Amino acid sequence: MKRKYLIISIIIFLAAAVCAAAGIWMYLRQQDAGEDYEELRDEVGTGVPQTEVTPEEPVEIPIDFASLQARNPEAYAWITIPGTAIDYPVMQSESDNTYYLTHTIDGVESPEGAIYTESYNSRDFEDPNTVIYGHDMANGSMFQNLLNYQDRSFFDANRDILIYTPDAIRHYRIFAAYLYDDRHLMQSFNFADKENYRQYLESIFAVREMGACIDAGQKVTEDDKIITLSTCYGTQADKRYLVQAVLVSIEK
Amino acid sequence: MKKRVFGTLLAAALIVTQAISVFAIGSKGGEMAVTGASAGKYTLAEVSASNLSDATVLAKITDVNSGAATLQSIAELAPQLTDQLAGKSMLTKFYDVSPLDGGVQTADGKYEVSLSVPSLSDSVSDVSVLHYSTDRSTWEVIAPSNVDYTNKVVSATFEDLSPVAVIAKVSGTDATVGTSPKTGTTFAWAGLLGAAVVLGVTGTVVYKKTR
Repeated sequence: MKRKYLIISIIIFLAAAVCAAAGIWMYLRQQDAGEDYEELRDEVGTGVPQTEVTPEEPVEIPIDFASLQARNPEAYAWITIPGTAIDYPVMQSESDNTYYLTHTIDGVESPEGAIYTESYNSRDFEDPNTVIYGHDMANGSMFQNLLNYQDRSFFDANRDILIYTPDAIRHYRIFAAYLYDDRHLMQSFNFADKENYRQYLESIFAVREMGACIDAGQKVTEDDKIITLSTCYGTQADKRYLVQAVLVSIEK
Repeated sequence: MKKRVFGTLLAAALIVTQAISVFAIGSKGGEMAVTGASAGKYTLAEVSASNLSDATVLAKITDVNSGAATLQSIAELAPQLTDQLAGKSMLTKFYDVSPLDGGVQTADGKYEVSLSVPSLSDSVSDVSVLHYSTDRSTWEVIAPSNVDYTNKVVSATFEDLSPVAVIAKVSGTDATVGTSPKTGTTFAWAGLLGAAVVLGVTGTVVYKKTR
């Protein structure tokens, strides 16, 4: 009988060791999330404005797109939100909308994936609403910092988003940050239809939920172009945290 | 002692199960709207007991809309559609379509409806319309009269109107139509470490039995 208990206890201890090893491995992987992108910034530059740019000067793109696209030609833009750690390339897969959900810019399978758009959007940011996805990583990388916009004072102080493409810098102004359901925006709203788009914009400004930050003073119409940054919200699988911004100027 | 051991094992199982269930992937259809010549001629409403009296069909539609049941499970109620539903996904949820002022009718009295389907994309093929006729108490798959991929519009003609959903074959990469990509962080590591602790305690308890 004692021998039987000994065998059972050994099996249980082995199972415990396997669980512990897997758990520690997964935890460490999450803590290291985004490290590749820090190296990338050293290589191709950062979108964080270093100097004040005067409008008369020809625009200088601080991102080395040649190096970036040599690393991965599917990197077509760069997003920077001053005041946050968000400073990443934007990817779009030619063939698989879910690829960058689980793969980094170098094609390495990893929980942080990449910041990306889907093929529902063009790559020129000319769509009425371009939806950009990124993971809410526990170590603060990728789109985790979007959650800072739940704090009204942070929202008021950090309203600018810069999108760099090889030939232009687009300046966006954040006008809304709120918790939403998990519906796929591009599959749920026909933004190409001006009336549908207008109604959608009205629904944003009608959001009254606790914790939602909406700038009612920012005029956004169906003739404007917006971007929606989307990330998950903790363990609530049926929720997405959205930060939306309107295009205010383009430097070329 | 046995109760303690089994109780501890049960707790461990619960922790692991909970960690996994949080990340279970659901699948559901997207939205639709009447558009073009149909705008103002039809209304869309949630399918409910007020517009669908058959409780079995209502329960199935509710489950399919929420992602609790698959599109293919409708074949349980309509075996004749098994082949037509095979391999397809919901592009939209079911909505009850009703005509306003007679809707837009063909010469033979059928209804012409144009639906805006935002989830229509290049990765979608073999688009059709799934309809439950409340008048005839029957399910049917209708071939659209037109599928406009550019403007994301599906047009179809109906003998009568009631719950309608747009279905299609969707390439594997877009299999979760209607749901935004899951960009959350995973806490599975916490579940695993919790399970390790519980298993360690359980192992210790069992090991003490050998003494």
